[in-house]
Amino acid sequence: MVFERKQKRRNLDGVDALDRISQLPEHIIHHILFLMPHKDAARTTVLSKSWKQVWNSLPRYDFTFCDGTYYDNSPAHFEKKIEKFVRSVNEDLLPLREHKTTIQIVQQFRLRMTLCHHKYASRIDNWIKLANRNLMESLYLELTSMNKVGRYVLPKTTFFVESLAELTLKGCKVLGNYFGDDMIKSIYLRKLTLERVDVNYLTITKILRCCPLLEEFTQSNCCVKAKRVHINYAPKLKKAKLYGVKKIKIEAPNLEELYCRGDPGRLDSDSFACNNVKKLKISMFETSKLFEDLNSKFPLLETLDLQFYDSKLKISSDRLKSLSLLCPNKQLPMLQISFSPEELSKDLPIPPIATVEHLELGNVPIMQDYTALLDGLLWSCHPKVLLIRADSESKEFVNFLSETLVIKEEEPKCCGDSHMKCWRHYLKAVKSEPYLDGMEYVKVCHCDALSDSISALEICH
Amino acid sequence: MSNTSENPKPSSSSAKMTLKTSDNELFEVEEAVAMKFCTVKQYFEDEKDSDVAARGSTTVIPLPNVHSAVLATLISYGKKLPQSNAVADNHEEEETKKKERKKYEQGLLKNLMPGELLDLISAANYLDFKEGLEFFNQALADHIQNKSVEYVRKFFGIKNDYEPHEEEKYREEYAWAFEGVDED
Repeated sequence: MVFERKQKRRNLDGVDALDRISQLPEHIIHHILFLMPHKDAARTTVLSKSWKQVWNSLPRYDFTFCDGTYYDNSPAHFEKKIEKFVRSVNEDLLPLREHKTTIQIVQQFRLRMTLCHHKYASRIDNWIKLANRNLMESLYLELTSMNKVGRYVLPKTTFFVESLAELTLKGCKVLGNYFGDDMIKSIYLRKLTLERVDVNYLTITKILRCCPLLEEFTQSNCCVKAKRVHINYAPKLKKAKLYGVKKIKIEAPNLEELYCRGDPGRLDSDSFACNNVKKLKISMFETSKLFEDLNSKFPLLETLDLQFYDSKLKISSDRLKSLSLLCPNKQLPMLQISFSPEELSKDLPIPPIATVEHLELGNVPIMQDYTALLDGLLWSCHPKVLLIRADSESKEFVNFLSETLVIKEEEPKCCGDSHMKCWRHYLKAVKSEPYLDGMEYVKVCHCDALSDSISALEICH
Repeated sequence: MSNTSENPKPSSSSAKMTLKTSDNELFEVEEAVAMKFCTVKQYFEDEKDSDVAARGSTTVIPLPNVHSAVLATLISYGKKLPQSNAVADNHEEEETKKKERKKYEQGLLKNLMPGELLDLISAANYLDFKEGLEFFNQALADHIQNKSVEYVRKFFGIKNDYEPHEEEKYREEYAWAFEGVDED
């Protein structure tokens, strides 16, 4: 054929050595991408830089719809407002409906609406299906149902939209029957938030089992059937927030941040199998022996924010940088915090006293004598910043601190010849300052006797 | 199908037009088919406005961007399309025609080289031949589907100008697109 002579050299596969496909006009490439499944089209971004450009030039949309209504006493009037709202949403979504010759990307679809009648559920279904067809990347639904109108049930296909990376549901309902036990289909979510959702905790477990890419998960104040949390598969999960739950069992080897608030609830040593956690916040939970050996449960922990009820708290950690403690239990007899693995003893060489960046004490009960508390605290660690929450009771403690944490003499003689010097020897400077929040802060400077570096302890108020 | 400048036999009722390709070959095409090439249609209509007498075989429309082999295929495809002015067939005839067309299309695509396919797409775009463009674009889309990135690059000679860490970043970003695809 005459044709062949005009072509340049071809290799054995019959490939044209010139990359002519990338030189096609952009609208043609857009059309070709439109004619294939979304997955295949998205993969072309990796072919070369010019193909990424073509992908970047696809039309993109961000939709945020908020009905902005508040219920007024006239249902007819309210319904009129909603009808108007629905009409305007339909109008705005017109570009998605029109048949085009190119893929359109819905980067965000956000809807906040009050359902005053069940007929609106199917409207919402249609909107979501429309967005699904157009490569939706993020979906946010906040739906409140009025009176006798049932909750909005999310269409089952939504979870399985391949391009969907972020899903936030507030006030909806998720049925369990589309996540069968033999579910092998993947869900590609990276971020999932369920707030006030009517869903069974087992369904949540099943959903998470299908999500190999999930990095953030939030469950907040969901219904009674979801007071338990059971996560046994979360390979990429980095951040988890579990609020309003009673029982937790989570296995997440790469989890770094964990926030838990009970309803109230109870935790035990089985609750957590997350060795990589760096930031931990727990409140409204009975923790029993969980924190006796922090090191083994959370060896990499750097920040701990804990509200605890037990009579004895023993924390053993050499990595902790920030510690915040709240004891709502006013009967607290003894607070024991040790930052070093070994107990202090006169026979042992001086253990390195851990420097804690930030130490927060709340609800310090009224005591006759705070000396033991202060000694215990400052033997265990040299905090840089000691923050004490101000309320009528802790004022006593703060007064005590301002009297005691005073540098009376350059070289205190209290410890004699002992090679173990108490905290008074390290105290360099104390500054007491009012803090914006109305909390007590007293600044204390400590100096490490073994080195010349001066670390300042600030106790702010 | 290509003739040189002979006078056409006056047997057919539809007028014919002559199209001249980049390699100076002449194609005689029925007007009904040629009108599917909107660029040609436009040219023809412009010509008509300027000279009423110039109609049919005396008009030679130049197509400097289209090679003869490519045009031959496009014309052949155009002929197989349902004609807009054709008499309505009954259901049976329509079915037969459909089957024929399917068979023809399959045959057409079977031995098509990627370079040829791209030529056809470029030409169909230049000629503004909507049905042809749709068909060949779909053929290309079908070919890329389910193939790995490496295969597509190799097949079309696309040079990978990404740094390894860049490519890795985009593969991560679109991880959902890569799940379950065989990388060869």
